[in-house]
Amino acid sequence: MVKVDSKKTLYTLARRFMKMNHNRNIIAVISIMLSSLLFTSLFMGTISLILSKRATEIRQSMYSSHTIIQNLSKYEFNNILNAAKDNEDIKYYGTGIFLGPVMNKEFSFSCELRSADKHHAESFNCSPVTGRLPENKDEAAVSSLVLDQLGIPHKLGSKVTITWEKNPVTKEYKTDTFTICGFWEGDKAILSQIIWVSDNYAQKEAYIPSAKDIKNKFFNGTYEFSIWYKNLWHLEQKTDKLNFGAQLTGSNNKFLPNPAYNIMEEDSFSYASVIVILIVIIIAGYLVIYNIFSISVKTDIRIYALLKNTGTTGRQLKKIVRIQALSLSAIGIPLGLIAGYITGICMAPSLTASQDIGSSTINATETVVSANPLIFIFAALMTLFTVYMSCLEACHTAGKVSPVEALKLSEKNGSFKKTQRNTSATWPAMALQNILRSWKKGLVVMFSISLSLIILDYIVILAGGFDFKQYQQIFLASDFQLDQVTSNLEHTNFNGISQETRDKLDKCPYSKAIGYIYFSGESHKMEQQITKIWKGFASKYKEYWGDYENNTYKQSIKTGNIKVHLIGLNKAGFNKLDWREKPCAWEDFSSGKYVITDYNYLYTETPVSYYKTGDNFFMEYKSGSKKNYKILGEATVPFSLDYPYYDFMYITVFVPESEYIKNTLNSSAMYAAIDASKGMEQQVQDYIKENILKENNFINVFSVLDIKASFQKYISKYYTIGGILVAVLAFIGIMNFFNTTAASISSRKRELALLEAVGMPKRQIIKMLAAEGGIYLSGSFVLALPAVYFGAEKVFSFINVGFYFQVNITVLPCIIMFPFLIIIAIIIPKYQYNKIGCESIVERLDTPV
Amino acid sequence: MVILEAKDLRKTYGNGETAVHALDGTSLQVQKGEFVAVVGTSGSGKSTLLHIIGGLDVPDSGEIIIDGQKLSNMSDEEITIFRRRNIGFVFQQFNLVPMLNVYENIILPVKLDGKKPEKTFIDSIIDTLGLGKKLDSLPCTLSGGQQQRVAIARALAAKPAILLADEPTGSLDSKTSQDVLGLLKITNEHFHQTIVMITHNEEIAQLAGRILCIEDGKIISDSNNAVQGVASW
Repeated sequence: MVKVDSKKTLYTLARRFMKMNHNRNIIAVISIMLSSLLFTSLFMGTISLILSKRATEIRQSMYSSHTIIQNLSKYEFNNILNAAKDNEDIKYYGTGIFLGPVMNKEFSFSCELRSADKHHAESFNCSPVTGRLPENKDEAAVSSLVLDQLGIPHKLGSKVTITWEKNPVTKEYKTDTFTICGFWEGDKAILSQIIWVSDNYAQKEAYIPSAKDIKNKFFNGTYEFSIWYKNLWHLEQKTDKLNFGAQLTGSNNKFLPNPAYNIMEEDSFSYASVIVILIVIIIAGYLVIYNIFSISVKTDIRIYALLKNTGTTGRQLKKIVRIQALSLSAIGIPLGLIAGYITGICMAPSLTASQDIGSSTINATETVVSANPLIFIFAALMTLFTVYMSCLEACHTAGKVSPVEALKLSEKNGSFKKTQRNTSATWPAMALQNILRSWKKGLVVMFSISLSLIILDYIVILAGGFDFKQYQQIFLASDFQLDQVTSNLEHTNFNGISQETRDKLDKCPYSKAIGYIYFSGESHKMEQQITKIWKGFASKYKEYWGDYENNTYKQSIKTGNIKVHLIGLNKAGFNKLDWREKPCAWEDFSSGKYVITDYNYLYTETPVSYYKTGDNFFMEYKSGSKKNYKILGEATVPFSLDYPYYDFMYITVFVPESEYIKNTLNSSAMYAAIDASKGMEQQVQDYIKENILKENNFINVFSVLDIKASFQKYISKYYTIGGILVAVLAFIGIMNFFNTTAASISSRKRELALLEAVGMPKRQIIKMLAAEGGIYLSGSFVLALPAVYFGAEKVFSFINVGFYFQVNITVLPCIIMFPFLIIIAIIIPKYQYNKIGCESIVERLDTPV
Repeated sequence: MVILEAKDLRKTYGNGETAVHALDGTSLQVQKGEFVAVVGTSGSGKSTLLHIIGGLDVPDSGEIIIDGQKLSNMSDEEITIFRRRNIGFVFQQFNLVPMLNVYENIILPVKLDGKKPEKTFIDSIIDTLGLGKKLDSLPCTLSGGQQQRVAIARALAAKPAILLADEPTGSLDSKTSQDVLGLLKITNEHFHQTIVMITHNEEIAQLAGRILCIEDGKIISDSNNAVQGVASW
């Protein structure tokens, strides 16, 4: 290979080519900018999505370290401490002691007394913002919610009296008064509030648990360890290594990687969508940039041939094209990165909107906008890759040009294009001929425009496919739902709707009906048929059961008792039931003689009844009360009003409200389900805020208004992505068409002048050009139709939009767009032809080809 | 010293009944410093001969040796580099690079080779060809004669072993043609430049020291021109 240093000359030549192609440069810079914008916003969106999910998970799971272990004996703790000191993967670690749950009566939430060093407190996201962690025995740092509940001002030096459970076995409580040395903003979304005490206090006062205690899940006095690795790579392997070093491999309690850092656990939607969008961007960018460079090189082919003639090698010619592409990228990419960053910031909130409903009091969803430099580097590289791929063909054309071509091209007696086989002199036939002689270019234009048509159609299918009712039903069985249920069974309050709350709710003038749903965990002596049903299930499905299922089954068979989810209902609650067969009458149910039971539909193709109507049902309540009922019917309660956790092997038994209260001796309900009078949703919401939440803001309120907003926010994610894609693709497609038409008309300037000279009227020439455009755009339409018709179902099932989405295939948007395409097909060629029409026929005939 | 040797060149365009034998066993030798004119009618194969000598086209068979180097052994890339270092072209249509000014056009082959133009040599070419005042002009602002002068200057800039001129006056009026031919002659004498010029005009051929006649792809006569001078027509 002969290598010479001709860089400067090649740069000069490339610069001169760029000077010659002013319009091409503008179009190319815009296209490169758009590609870069799309890549940047896509990567920003994806990273923001992952980080937001991580932030939400960290907030909900209450720890942010890469791995954590709790409930350790002192011996285990020391082993870990020794292992951690020698572990090279670890950046730093934090330790602490769980002293016990805080028992202050004032608290309506769960609260724990712990000690921690700086890092461990950081892992719990509970580092004091004001003040510091406790150092002396009588100091404590607390969450602001703790101060609020105790009515203590947010001031350092205030005194706080805490009662905590020291010995979980003997239920020994200890009460001490501490001086507040630090506090932070409490977060209602987390499972439990924390009070930090000093290590001195913990070492002195903590219960020393025996191995048996820990086995029996009495964790008071146990040690904890949070670890941060040097990086997030191979968390699993690092954690396995750590467990091995700390002799925890055989143990049930070991370090587990924090799932918040496992980005591979993102739901399939995110990844599939990212891949689909990435491919669409690459194709869209490729199509337009390819076309620009390809047309530009073909237009300048004579000069490339001349240069080859003068001794420029193919390799040097390719380099000249690449330098132009890179120079244009140097302008387009930074502009695109900036525009993409702005778009990313605007898009992030709707992208991170999850399908979890947000109640008005607690919303744990976090939005984190990432501007990691890697995003921009990667977006720039992807754009460069697209530009590089797009100009390969142009480089090839320039590099392979024959030097003799320059001589032929300059002789004006022939064109480098194929000779036209003129079969007919009519304008439609000539239009068709013209299309056929550059069919490859035409195909690129068609693909490019059809891509935007397809995406537009998909967006419309998306918009029409979301069903709010279906979405709402999963989360809410009524317009408003109140409870004190948390995401953790241990801290949930099944009796969150007290008699007092109910009285206030009943006075709400804007509600149509208020259902109360009570819950009590009871048990029931299994009848023979129940045992038989479950034994049948066990023989079929036991191999799929886990420890919990197996243990529950064994226990039930051994004791002969099955768990009962006892649900009490008032009339409005009763009206929410989903009946298996004919609905039963409230009058019968409320008599107190009957119960309604559920049926098993989880394990069998056809539901299996536990009882038949009219069967006897003997209920022995935990309170000691016993009663014989008759089965009135079979029903289930809507998902949102059911027992809110996973359970196995149980029967749901419905009793009327009065019967529930009488026999469980508990008058507090689990849920209140309020239906607003027509159009009164906002008033009901305001009433709840004013009358309920002001006094007890630990009540969760799920509102149809919030769900509607959250639903809108969720689907706006698709509209945002889709809208931007359609706009950009439509712009790219039309620009592509504009570019192709301009190049086609200007390269045929002489030929068209010749047609005019031999007597073809201008009107007919424009018709011919419009017909060419019409064929291109109709081609796009024809390509788009089958892609929509046959592809929509597959695409939507691939990106897994949601259960409340149904694909209703329609090609109407394509059909509606068709007249617009025709208008574009007429306007653009007409404009281009009129532009060259400023010159006289003689001038145009003199134009070198 | 033989600077150019063509051995039994054959080139056919098309095939079957429509086959045209552009070159049919053409051989020739050119000595260093010679000014050779190749004369022939349209379609006689003279342009094909020039293109093949210049490495712009490849023969079906036969061999070209320039300054001791065989063109047939070279790749496309090597031929291009060989061309820019050893062969200068002057075409009927001038073929200047439109977006480069006169000076840039002249030094282009040298620059493409990654070399620094030899200032005194380039200046002497510019002086000889009378282009001093036009160095910053773009080709489109020059007359045909001026453009052809630039083309000659460019062809000479890399000090080629051989200068090939294809109907160099074909697009020029008679006065300008005379000037250009005179310049070629001066070039031949001043720089001892070997020149092979193609023309269909026998009077123009008289300028050369040696005249080859080509017909149907074969050289039919090869004569030394005793009376060299600028033809007047």
